[in-house]
Amino acid sequence: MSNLLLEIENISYTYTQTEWQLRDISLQVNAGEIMGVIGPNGAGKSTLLKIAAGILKPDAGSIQLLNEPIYKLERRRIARILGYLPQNVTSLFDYRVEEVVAMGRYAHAKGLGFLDNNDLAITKRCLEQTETTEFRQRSLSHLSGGERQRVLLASVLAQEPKILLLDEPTTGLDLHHQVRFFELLAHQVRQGLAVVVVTHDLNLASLFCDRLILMQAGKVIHQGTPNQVVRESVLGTVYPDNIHIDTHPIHGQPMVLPLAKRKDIDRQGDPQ
Amino acid sequence: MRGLATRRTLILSILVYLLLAFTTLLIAPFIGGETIRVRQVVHDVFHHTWNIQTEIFFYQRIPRVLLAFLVGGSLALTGSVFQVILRNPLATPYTLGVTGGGALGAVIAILIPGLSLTWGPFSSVQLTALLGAGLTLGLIYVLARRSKSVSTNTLLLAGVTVGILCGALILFVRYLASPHLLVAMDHWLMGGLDIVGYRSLAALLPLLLPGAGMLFMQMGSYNLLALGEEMALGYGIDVTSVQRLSLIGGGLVTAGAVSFSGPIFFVGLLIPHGVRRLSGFDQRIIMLASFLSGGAFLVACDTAARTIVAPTEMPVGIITALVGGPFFIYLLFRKK
Repeated sequence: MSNLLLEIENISYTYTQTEWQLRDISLQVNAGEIMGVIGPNGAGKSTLLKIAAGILKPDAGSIQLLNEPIYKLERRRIARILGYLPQNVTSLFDYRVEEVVAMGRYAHAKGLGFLDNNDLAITKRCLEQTETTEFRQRSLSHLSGGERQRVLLASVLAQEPKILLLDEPTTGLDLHHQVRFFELLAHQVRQGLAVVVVTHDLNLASLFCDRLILMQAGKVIHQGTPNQVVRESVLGTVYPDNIHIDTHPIHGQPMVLPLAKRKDIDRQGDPQ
Repeated sequence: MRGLATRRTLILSILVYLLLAFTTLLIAPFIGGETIRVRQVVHDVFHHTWNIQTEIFFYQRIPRVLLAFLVGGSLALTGSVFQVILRNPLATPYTLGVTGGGALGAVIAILIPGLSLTWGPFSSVQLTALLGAGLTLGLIYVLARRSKSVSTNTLLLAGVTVGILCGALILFVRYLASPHLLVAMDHWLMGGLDIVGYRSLAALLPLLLPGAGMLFMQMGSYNLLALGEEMALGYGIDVTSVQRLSLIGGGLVTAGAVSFSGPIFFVGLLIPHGVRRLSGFDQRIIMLASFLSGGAFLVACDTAARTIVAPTEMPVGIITALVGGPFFIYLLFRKK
């Protein structure tokens, strides 16, 4: 059986109001891999993810989800294959954690979405996987940013998708929770899930992703393994003069260090 | 600690609201300017010798109580849905300007008594109110409709603007009206449920039932929409379809309610929020509970309206605001 889950071919999209364009993008997502989408602000990463999730319809090109054109599939069918977590999810009501997680079962539930024993078991499992069981009765407004993101991830996992599309899921999280979040994704990927994650954290992307897509101004300018993409010759075209590449002393992955131009940042006079 | 939304928890959650609605419906017809005794009604029904009390009970009280229940329930139901669809906790069935259109139709019919636009059980005022409400809803929908989806912000702004426009036109109609017509207009604008017999009720059902049905059919989608359109799409909701059906369903309900009872404010805002304070946020429970408690609330208010100043009666809109306002403030500041 093929590992290919999602195939995007030559898609283009234009925002009519600004005439900003996403141009001629092709990529494939396979089971059991984490793909990182990186690039500066306004590169088109979120737009690409929305198109891949079938939320925006491209002006040209095709998207195949499990070898079927995504726009011919019902939304519920798409949701059973593909989970999508957008940026900045704001809830109108202060739902409890377990209610939010259980919402992920909508695509599988019949009729009005009431839960059966199987749904309850899957909700419980997703709470456990994301380590959110202990505050399942708390309402969303009583969670920290990291807890909230884990709850939303649990909800999307409850869809039991084969592929997860996550748009900057670790923004606003502290270092510990960022790492924990990616570890959680890596664990899911080992079980056969595919993850596409948009992130600005180049180091976490380098550490956890199997492949990286580097975007700029609506185009994919490079894709490959972290070792192929996280290089000064590649990243330097997007972040000129601002980066220095080094190697992670423990994991051996390429790491990106920021470079500052201001001379007064050199603190040679600082006490030792 | 509440459980997750299984069928069992839904039934348990709405049992108390069912009981409330049932009790109100049972008691309200016996209360009013003319006190009606249960024994008398039962005796008359079994002996086919109806006296005036039994006539009042069956031809005035029961249809009026049923109308109040249906109107109150439908307005609260629509309010609970519009708050989600428009992503605005202040949204009510009247936010989209439907009431303004209905009221404009009604005052025009009152201004021109010769206007004999009757159709079936609809009086001239009811029919023009319905037409006004329907046209307003259609206009707002066309204004807000974009190629791919309905923009909720545009919808809100268009609704408020059309409401203001209708308000200005109502003032113009009132400027043209003679004093005795102004009294009739004011009476209509304060809201009322004074119907006799079942013809009006039967005419209202073809609007309320499909409208409420369209809302109830989608009640599994609204929780997910409350997390935002993109999240809802990701969960598998056909957002555009849900929005359209909700607007049409809610519009039908509101147009029907406004045309028969005039604008009854507050029920559509207060009841859904009150119910959320008591029963959480699961929209499936909230919709059913809003319908039942909205109906019970309006029946109780209408009973008060026709009892407090008997043998005359107060416009029910005054009671809903006077009773509902303080109660809502109590709920807001009650310790969670």
